[in-house]
Amino acid sequence: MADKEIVGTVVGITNPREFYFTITPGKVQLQELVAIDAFKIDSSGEKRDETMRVWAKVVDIERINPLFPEEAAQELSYQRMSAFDTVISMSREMITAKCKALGVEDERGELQPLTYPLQPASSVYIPPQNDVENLISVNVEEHRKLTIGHLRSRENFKVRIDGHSIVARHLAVLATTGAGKTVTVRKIIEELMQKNYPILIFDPHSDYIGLKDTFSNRVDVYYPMIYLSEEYDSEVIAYIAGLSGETPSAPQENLIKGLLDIYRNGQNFIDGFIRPVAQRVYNLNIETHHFYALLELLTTLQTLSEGNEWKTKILPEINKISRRVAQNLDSSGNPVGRMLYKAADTYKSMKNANKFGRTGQLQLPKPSEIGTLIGTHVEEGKTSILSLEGYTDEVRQSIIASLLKKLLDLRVDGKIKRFLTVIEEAHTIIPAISEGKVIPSLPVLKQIATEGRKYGMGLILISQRPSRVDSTILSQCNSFIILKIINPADQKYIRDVVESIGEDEAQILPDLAVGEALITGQCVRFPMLVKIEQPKSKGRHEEEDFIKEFANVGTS
Amino acid sequence: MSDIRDRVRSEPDIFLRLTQNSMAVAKSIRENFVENTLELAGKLRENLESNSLDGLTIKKLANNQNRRITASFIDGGVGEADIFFRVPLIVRGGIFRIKEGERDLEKRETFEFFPVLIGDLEGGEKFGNDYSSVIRIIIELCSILRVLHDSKYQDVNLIMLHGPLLYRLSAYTDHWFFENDIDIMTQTSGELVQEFREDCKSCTVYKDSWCGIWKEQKKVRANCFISFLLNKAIKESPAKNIDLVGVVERASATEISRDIFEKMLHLDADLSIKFLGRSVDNYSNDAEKIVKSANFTDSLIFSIVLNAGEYLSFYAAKERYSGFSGPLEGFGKRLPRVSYTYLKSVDNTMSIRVEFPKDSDKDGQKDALLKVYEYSRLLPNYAFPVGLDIADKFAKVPGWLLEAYRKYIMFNFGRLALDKELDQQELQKILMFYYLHQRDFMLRPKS
Repeated sequence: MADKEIVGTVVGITNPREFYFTITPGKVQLQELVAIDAFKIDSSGEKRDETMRVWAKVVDIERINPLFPEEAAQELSYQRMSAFDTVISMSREMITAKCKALGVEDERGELQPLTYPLQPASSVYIPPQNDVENLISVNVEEHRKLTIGHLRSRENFKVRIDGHSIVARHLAVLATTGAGKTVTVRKIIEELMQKNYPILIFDPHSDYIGLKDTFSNRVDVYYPMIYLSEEYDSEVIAYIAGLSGETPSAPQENLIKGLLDIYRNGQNFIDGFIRPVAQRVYNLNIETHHFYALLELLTTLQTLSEGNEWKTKILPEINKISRRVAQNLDSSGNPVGRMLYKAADTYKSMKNANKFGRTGQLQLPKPSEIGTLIGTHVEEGKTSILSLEGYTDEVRQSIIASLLKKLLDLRVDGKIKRFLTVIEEAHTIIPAISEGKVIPSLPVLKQIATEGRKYGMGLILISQRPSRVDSTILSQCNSFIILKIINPADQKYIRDVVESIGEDEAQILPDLAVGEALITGQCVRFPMLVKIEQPKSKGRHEEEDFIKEFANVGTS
Repeated sequence: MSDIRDRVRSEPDIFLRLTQNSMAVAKSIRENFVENTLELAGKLRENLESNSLDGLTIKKLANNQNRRITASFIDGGVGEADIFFRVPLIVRGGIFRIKEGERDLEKRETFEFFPVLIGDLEGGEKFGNDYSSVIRIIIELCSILRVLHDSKYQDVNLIMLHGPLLYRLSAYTDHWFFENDIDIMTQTSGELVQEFREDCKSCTVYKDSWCGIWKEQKKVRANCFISFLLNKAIKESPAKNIDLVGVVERASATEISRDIFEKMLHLDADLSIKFLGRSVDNYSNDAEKIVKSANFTDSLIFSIVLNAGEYLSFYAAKERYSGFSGPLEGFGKRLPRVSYTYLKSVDNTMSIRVEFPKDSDKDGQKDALLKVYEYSRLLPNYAFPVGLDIADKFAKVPGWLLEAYRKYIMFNFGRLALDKELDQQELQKILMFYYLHQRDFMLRPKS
């Protein structure tokens, strides 16, 4: 035992699940990994000379001064005196740690369940660094290890998590604002980038743009474009709903689909009947003028419907392309027109907002070329960031839904490589459904979450309000990184959803410091408290000091 | 008097004790007992304030605090194990030294304890009820000497003992120890015994020849040794500038009450009618009867009479020097003189008795009393110096140790039986005794 750092002695009643030990003051912290060498017991119940190492985790620490009566504390408070100025003893504190047994280390370094209680009076020690690091990531092949930080209690004990379980089985990163979610995810992304793993990031606040600054050759940043001409009808309707803030009724949806039919299949009709009478403001070009072009088509049709040739000449031509227009133009023309107008204007202003800081960004490829985001070859190992800054949640949902549906199709067909998708602000993209509200991104993400392993599409979901994230999708996550969580509803939700988190661990969530995380699930062998290492890249806004620019004016 | 009545009504603990006492007094005086007691307390206070009781007065503590000192608190404890019946097994003395204001915990506090297993002692009246008490007194006095002699206690200004400085030793006259027992208790190698023997040479209480037999048999009388230790401590403490004080909580003594009630009877004969239902017969006897019939104690009386922060002027102890008879008659003069007072530190609590060596420095006594008061106010519900409470907890023999010792004894009992050192009949008797004691239905005796 000479080379081991003894930090306490087992006391009281022990059982195979937990035990207590009195600690050497200051030597043990919460969530510390400790070990006890216990004698092996053979089948006849006799002690053998061999010892086995039992690993345990400190889940609670209690400190009591049995020589400090409570009544004295009350009097000290009233008299505003320090205990040091009295004869109250301060030196005889008893510090006791509660431990959860993690298991017995076998010959292969695996942990087996403890089946016999530890002997009271056993010495508890901090195992050497290598042993701890091996325990944390034993049996994880080197190429799968992602260095994420160090044990909170030991700065030199590195923590390497299993990257495969993240890219294959999904990870949720949950924390309150400012606790370090994005920094944590950037660290994971950087580690995965070193392995050349393809990553697609939906970035609503430009928190990941810094990756481009640090790894310029490996990262592309895109700004979104809506290609209505190539979108599925349902996507277009979702865009209109999201941008206009109105949910189209069934006849209204049919009218929109009819308009799209005309654009896709009736170019001759447009050229022959519409273009001559249209006001030519938007040139009826849906590829460049999106919703305005749809609006122009609709208003021109409405104008024509009042003319003499409508029933005899124009309507039969339209019906050849789509019967949906004739059936719904009268009843739904005006509301659809209003929706298209609002959608067009909102999209225009959002595009302007998205332009902010767009230097060096690429236009999102057309749906037909969307596979370039991921790449078709292993060596491409690309990270693509889609900047969604400036867009409302509804539009983001539509953009993400549209993109992921197409990528899922490509992935199913084997046309692109496996990749990892990062969803920031998951509570806005895959919210727990409110009654009557259609969330376009929910079905596709549900499919990826449940079948993602099959397709090689992993997810990292990030949220500051876990209780507002769709529980089906969240429960599909097999790994969790949980940073500081204050909201009691979120804490409870996490306890309910995350099976691998214990009551003791849940209790410390509100007390975590920035950058400290509880990692649990398949990416680690047991839940552990980790101080996340700073990534190389910076977030766009995190280092800026807004006041500094103004504060020094006139002082020099 | 109305002040006392109003105050006692707002002190529920004391009022409750008075009411309890009233339930035990004769029916004829029960009805007005509380009222009469409060009236008595009021008159007593008046007489004390007017200095009408032979110099006894009420004094108020002058608060000149902020004087930081190093204090040592000493207490002993007896650990009893429940085997067939409760048996004292271990006696432990503890010293808690603390330097007020010191932030460095290493320098601030020192704990030391001295355990003695009764089984290690060979002499003495082990089956006497107070055997362990005698050992405890010796260990406590040795702890005082430890503080006086050991260099690690050189900064100590005050030694505070949990209990009286001087016990009523006439109760312990039968107890004795072998010299080896004394060495075990004092953790010395004969030096203290040798010093004691030297001191005995000046003793005129026993005849030389009689003590010589004790010396030849290497035996030491407990009373003599206690007296020696206490005299030594009282003699040496002034040289070290250390104040020595004993603090007694829940004191049951009635010495002062009997004394002043006798004086009060001379001043107010109606007192006898109110408490005894008749006129005065014999002043001294009637004072004692009032105390006994009303279940008064000095502590209760001064809890009523004194306000918080007040104490009684020092009273020279008398009774503890009497009660010795036969060849021990006159032993009282070997004992050091002590005086004591009652101090009420906090409202609604019983007054505590504080004892000093009678001839110690008067300023030192006042300083020490002020510290007792100051430390007692940190424990308002107990009104007892908190340092002694800490020493008490520290000196207490832990339950797990007693339990372990109990199991050890039971193990040896079993081994004894297995080794056939007990015959079957003896074994059955012991087992039956044990079963009866356990009161277990499954182990009930056969009819």
